Amino acid sequence: MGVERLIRGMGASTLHTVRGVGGMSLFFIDTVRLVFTPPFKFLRFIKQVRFIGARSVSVIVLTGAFTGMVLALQLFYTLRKFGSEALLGPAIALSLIRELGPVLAALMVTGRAGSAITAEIGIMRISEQIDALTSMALNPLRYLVVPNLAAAIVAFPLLAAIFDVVGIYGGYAVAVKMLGLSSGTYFSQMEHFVLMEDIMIGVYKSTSFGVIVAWVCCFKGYTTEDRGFGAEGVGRSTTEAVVMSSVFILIWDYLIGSFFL
Amino acid sequence: MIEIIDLEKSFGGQSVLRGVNLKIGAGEVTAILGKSGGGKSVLLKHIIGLMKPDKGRILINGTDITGLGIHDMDKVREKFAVVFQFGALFDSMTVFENVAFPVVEKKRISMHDMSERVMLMLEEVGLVGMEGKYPSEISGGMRKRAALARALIMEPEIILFDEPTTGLDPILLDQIHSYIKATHSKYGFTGIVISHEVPEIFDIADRVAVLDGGVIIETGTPADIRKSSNPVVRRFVAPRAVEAAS
Repeated sequence: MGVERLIRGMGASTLHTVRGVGGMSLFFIDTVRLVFTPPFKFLRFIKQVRFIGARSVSVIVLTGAFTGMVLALQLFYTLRKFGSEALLGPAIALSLIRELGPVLAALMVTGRAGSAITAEIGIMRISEQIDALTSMALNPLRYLVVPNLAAAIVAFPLLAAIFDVVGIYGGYAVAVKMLGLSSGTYFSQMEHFVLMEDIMIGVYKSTSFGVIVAWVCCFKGYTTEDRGFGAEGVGRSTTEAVVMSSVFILIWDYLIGSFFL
Repeated sequence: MIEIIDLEKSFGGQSVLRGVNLKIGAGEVTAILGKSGGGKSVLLKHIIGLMKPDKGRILINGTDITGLGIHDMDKVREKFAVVFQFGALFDSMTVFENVAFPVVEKKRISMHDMSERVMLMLEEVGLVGMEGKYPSEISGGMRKRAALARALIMEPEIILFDEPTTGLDPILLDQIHSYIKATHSKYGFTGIVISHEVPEIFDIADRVAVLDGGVIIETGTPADIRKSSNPVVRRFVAPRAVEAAS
């Protein structure tokens, strides 16, 4: 009996996982197909660019500044041991542009905008607003998911770029104003070491993170009823969306990082 | 004309619909009565194609919708409008925008004509002056009236009402019923009203179907249902009818 129950449990769990992965994949394929199929919801797209992008700028500036400052502090003491303080500028810039900018900006936007997207779509699901769209012969994916996906693809690289620039100036404030490094050394070495290729890696990463966050957060909101009813279901979906997006960002960051190394 | 044939649906091994058979005539208002949790809303979601049955067929003007793809189903849905239980108004839009939404999305008409049409609908359901409010700023009864206006604006052939009076006081209940009755007389749509408001629902229904245990156990005019000898129907209808008559 015990063995049978164990096998049943494993089977049920496998089926649940396969169904979940299949559902998410089909959701993504349907959404991508609609991105290229008119009619386009341009106003909704602009609204979502504002929501995901413009409204995240303050949190991106704040985290970017402190990330650059703490990088400067830590790298300065490390590089000083090797007598390489002059490389502080490029070290900060490369860390931010290739890695920390895209990843931390994506994680911050997941917490701020991704969770709100899941909650909004989840509430629309439980209050039958999505059924209302379907009953009007209007595809809910076109109204709710496609604008978020397109907006995230535009907003994430821009936010990562802002994060990088602010981070570099945050590092400058600590390295030059507090630790006494010369301003010329900080920037000239940076110009020498940071290549266009490094910038493009950051752009690829942040674009793909945008796709991940929009996909996961919209899917979790759209399928809120699978995780329970009412406010509890929406709460659970929101938590799952943030956790899953963050984990996917870190895993994808490693995979794409090892590919471009 | 809507025909439901041997419709079955279960969730996680629990049968909700066990072979529903029902014919709904064009231009009639049919009330579907039944206990809460008895599968009335599930039946309605099948009629609009929001759920797929395990077995059985649903014919809308002779077309079986159970096997239709999204594109073909959307063509059938053009004939429908649904008034959901809690209105299902878009909460980020004003009452005006909610009512205008189907027109904006489906019709190519000028802003002026659209605006005129929306205001006419709002007038019909007594919501003039509320057009700038958001759904969260108006009462439950007003939300249901706004949902009715949104349903009516495209002048659909068929309107499905999912418990349109749940949670309303008797005065508002009468008001919503009278709006349904008046708009039905004016537009002549085929109406399906899911309800457990007995005997009030008899005032607006041409026919009544009683759903119990996942099957339709009785259909007929309100008068037939009142006189039914079926013990389940009597238990459902008679005590309240008697109470109302007294």
